[in-house]
Amino acid sequence: MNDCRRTRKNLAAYLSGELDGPHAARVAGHLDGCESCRRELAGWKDVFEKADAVRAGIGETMKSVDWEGLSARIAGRALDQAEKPVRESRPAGILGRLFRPNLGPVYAGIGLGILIGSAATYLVLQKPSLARLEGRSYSASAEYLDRVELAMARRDALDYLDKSRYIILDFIQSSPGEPGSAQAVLNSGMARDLLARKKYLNPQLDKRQMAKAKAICDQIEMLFFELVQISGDLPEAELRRIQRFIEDRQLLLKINLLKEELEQSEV
Amino acid sequence: MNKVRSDMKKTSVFMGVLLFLSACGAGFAQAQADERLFEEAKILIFDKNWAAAQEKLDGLLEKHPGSPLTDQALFYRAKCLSEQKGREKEALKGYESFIRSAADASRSAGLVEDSEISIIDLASRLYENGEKPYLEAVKERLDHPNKVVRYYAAFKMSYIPEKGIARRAVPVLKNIIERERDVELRDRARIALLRVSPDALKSLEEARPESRARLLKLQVIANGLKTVDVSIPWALADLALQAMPEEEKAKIRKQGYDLDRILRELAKSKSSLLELKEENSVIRIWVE
Repeated sequence: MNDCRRTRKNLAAYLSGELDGPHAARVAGHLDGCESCRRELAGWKDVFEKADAVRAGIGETMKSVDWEGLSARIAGRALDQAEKPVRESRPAGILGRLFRPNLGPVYAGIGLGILIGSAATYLVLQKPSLARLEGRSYSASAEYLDRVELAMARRDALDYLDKSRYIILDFIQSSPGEPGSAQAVLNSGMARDLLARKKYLNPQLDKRQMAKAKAICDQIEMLFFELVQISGDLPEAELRRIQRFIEDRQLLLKINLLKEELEQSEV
Repeated sequence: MNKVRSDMKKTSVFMGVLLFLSACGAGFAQAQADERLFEEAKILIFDKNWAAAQEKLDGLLEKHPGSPLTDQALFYRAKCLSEQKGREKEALKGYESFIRSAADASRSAGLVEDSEISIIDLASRLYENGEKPYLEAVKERLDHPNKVVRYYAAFKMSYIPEKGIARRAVPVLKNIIERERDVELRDRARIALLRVSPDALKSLEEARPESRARLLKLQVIANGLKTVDVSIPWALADLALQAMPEEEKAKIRKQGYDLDRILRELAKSKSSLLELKEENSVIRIWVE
């Protein structure tokens, strides 16, 4: 029984590793043979784990507090308190003597001083100086970086659609007997550049907010795969087939609609 | 006798021509058949009908083993597999076999590059699903001779949650920021480096003589708590402002500002601090 009492007294120190070797060994030995003390130990473990969780939470909260603005808010509250009218009461004893009417100007002076001091403190603190706000390292939460990437994906998708549109227009406008502009597009390697560009866009297009953009960009990508496979002169039959394909799928219309949506909001 | 010999000669010539024509016809028919299968598969791929497209391509590869379309069919088959859940490993092998088969074909260079990128995507996906050894396929490509593949591997590595592993991408990302002329790629590399190693980005930006280490700071404080607290290179300032929550952007607009005007005003003076206050919230934007 005495052993149990001694062991339980040391359980917290045992768990936090504060006991020296012989004492720790004694506690461990007792725990091996005493179920009741093991249950007690499990309870302590639970408390320790919860304390750790709370500690992490406190750390996060402390980080998220606006310390620069805190002083301004405290000063603001102090000002509010100072401006509140003093409730009339009947002073008695020492207080009664302290609040004699003939000391009124003295108290008024002190009150005014407090008011001016508070206001000055507030004015100094309310606009944080750049020097105090400065911190030279780069940082952004993972969530914010995702948002930055999404903004970039929207910008790049617009650019991709714009350039794709020009290529497709060149193909549509070329006549079978004179495939000049379509041939120029093939020779310029623009389709290949856009294929490379699309690869970097893909991870962002896979996100939910860009699903509609992804569908159209994927279709354009397939068309460009076709184009980069054509080597040398563009055969008439091939030009006609690609033109028919673009028209059937209404690619230009889809691109224009998507561009509009991307410019307006999230897609 | 001469007449008989001449008739025989005529008959054999006729038979030869007939045989030649029939051989050509058979070849032409086969060419048409594999082309038709390939066209049908590509239309199915365009419509994202992956399983059906794969079937067509399997048919093409099986029935027309010597077709000139074999390389392309292998590529598109791997693509179809990669889009079907649970078939990532088959797809990866498919791309590898296409790369081996098309290694010498210069017209397939674009498809080979795309296959390398797809292998990186598939290997990352497998790694995320617990198949740790597949990360090697991404790591190897950090040294790839093709810069598109190298860059893509670095961007992909930067998303890996284990920072120690993700930092393997740092040299390639730094290289993109220092050497690449494409603004879009440089911005992507900056964000990736910010995710993996903000200190590496900082030393890189400070080393640039033209940048004078300018830094955009953005804070949103609501009810005494910082809901946004960002320090980002000036080069990414426009994207960082665009990424602000819609609610905060609406507050900015309400006060007569737009993002372009903010950038203009901040760019003018290093010491300017833009502070927009509302009842319970403050937005502070400044440049260092």
